[in-house]
Amino acid sequence: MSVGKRIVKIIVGVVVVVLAILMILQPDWGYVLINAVLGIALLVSAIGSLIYYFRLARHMVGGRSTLFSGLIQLDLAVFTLTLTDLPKIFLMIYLVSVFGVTGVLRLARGLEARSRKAPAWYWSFLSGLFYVLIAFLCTIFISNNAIMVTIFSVGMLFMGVGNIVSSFYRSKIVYVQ
Amino acid sequence: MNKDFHYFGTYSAAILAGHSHEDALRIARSAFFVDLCTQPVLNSVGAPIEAATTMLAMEMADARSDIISQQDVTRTWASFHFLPYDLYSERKGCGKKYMQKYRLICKPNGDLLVDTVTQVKGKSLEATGLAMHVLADTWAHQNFAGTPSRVINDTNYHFFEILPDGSERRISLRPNPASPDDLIKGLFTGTMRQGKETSVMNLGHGRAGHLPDYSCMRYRYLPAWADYEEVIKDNPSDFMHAYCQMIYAMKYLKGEGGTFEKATYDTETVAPYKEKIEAIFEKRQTDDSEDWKAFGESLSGQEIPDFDTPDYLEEYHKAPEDKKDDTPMGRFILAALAQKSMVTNRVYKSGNILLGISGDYKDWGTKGIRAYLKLAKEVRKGGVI
Repeated sequence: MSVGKRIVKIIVGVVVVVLAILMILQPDWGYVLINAVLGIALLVSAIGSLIYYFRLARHMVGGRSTLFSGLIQLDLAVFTLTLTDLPKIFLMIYLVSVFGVTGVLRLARGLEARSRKAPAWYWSFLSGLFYVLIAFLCTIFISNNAIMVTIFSVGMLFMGVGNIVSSFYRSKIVYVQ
Repeated sequence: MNKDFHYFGTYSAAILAGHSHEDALRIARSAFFVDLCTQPVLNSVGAPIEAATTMLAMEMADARSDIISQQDVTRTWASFHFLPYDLYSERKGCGKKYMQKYRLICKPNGDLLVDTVTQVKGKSLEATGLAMHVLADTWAHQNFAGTPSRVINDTNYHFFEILPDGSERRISLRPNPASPDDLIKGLFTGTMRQGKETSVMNLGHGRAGHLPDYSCMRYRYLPAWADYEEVIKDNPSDFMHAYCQMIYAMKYLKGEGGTFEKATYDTETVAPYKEKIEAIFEKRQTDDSEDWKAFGESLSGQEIPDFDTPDYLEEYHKAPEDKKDDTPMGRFILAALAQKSMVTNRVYKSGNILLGISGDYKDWGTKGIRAYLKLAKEVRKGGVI
C-alpha cells in the first residue's frame, strides 16, 4: 500500500468515526449529514471513474466496465443527494440498505479471496459478515428509531476504525522480476 | 527469466561467443546482479542509489503515487527489465496520456536494444553482462510495460496454458505470495486485480504472474492494450531467440562483425547444441539452474561457482575511494548509470516524461544529480564528451 493510500484511508476512517459519534450525539439531524457525505463521495468517485474511462480505460480490454461503474455511481450519487427531503425513516432505510449491500460485497470478495488462497481473506469476510448483521439488526428495530440509530452508529464506528487499522497493515505484494 | 537463464544461461552463451571461463563468469555475474541491485543493497556499501537496477517488494509497496515516485519506478523497470520497443508508435484515436504508456510496451528488436548493445562496445565485461540481461528480458517480458499501468498491463480470465500434448487448461492466478508456483498442477501466483491505474500491482507482468519467466510455458491471453486481439506466447521459442541473439551480440561486442543488426541470431554456433538447449527450455520446472549449470560446465570444462553476492559487495565496499570504479561492482554501477541515463534520455526526447526529465550533460551539467558526475567523468575519460 502506498503512503498516499494509507493517508487517504486514515482520513476516511477519521471522517466516518466523527460522523458516527455525531449521529449518536445528534440522532435528529446527524443522518442528513451522513447522507450528504455519502452522496458527495459517490459523486467524486463517479466523476473520477468517468474521466479515467474517457482518457485511458476506453482503449483497454474490458475497459467498458469502468464506464458502467462510473455511470452507476453517478446515478446513485444523484439519487442519494435528492433524498434529503424524505421522511427520516426512508432515509435510514436507504442508509441501512447501502450498509447491507457493502456487507454482501465484502462477503463475496472474502470468499473469492479464499478460493484464490489469498492471505488475510478472513478480514474481508468477517467485516462483511458484521455489516450484514448490523443491517439485519437495524431492520429488526426499524420501528424503534433510537435503537436503530445506535446500532447503525456502532456499525459506522467499526467501519471507521477498521479503515484506520487497515492503513497500518504491512503490505504484502508479489515480487515479479 | 530468473537466475537460471540470467546467470548460468548467460555464462554458457558467453562461452559459445568465445569468452574464457573467467570472462564468462564476469559477464554472467553482472547479468544476474541486475536482479539484485536494489537501493538498500547500494546503500549498504555506500554506492550511489541512482544505479539501482531493480526494486524490493517493500520499496514498491511503499512508493508514493506522485509523478516523481512513478518516474523513479518506471525509470528502473523500463531501463533494465522492460525495454520499450517503439517510442514513436502510433495508434488511432488515443490521447497523449495513453500513448505515453502505450509506447513503453516492451518487445524484442527495438531501436533501444540496438542503443543498449552498441553503447557497451569497448566497455567492461560487466557492461556486456548488464546489456545481455536487458536483451534477454525483451524476449521474456514482451507485451508488458515497465510502468504501473492497468490499461497496458492488466490481464483477465481469458488466459489459457497450452500443454505439451496440445490440450489447454485455464490459468487462474492466485494473489498469494506465500505459495510457490506449481507447473504440474497449474497453480500460479500473480498480483491482485487493482482498479487503480497506477497501482504497483499493475507493473510489468505482475498480472500474468511469473509465466513469462518460465522457459517451458506456452499460453494465450488477451493483453489489456491489444484491442481484443489474442496473443500466443511461445516461451521455448522466444528463449531460444534470446539465447542466439545474446551470442550474436557478445560476438559483436568482442569485435567480430562491424555493426549490430536487429533480428539477427547466431543459430550457426548454437546448432551443435540445439537439442540439448531445447531440452532445457522444454523441461517443466520453475528453475532450470541445475541443467544450465551442467550444460555450461560441459562447454567450458570448468566448475561454475554459485554467485556470492556478499563477496561482490565487500570487494567494492573495501576498495579505496579512487579504486572503487575498478571493482566488478564499480564497473557494474557505471554501466547501470549509463543504461538508465540513455533510456531516460531517449524516452524524454520522444516527448514522454514517464521516466523523468533528461538533459544533455554538455548543456545542463548534472543539475543536482551528483551520482551522474561519476558517469560523466568516466565518459570524458573515453573522450566521448
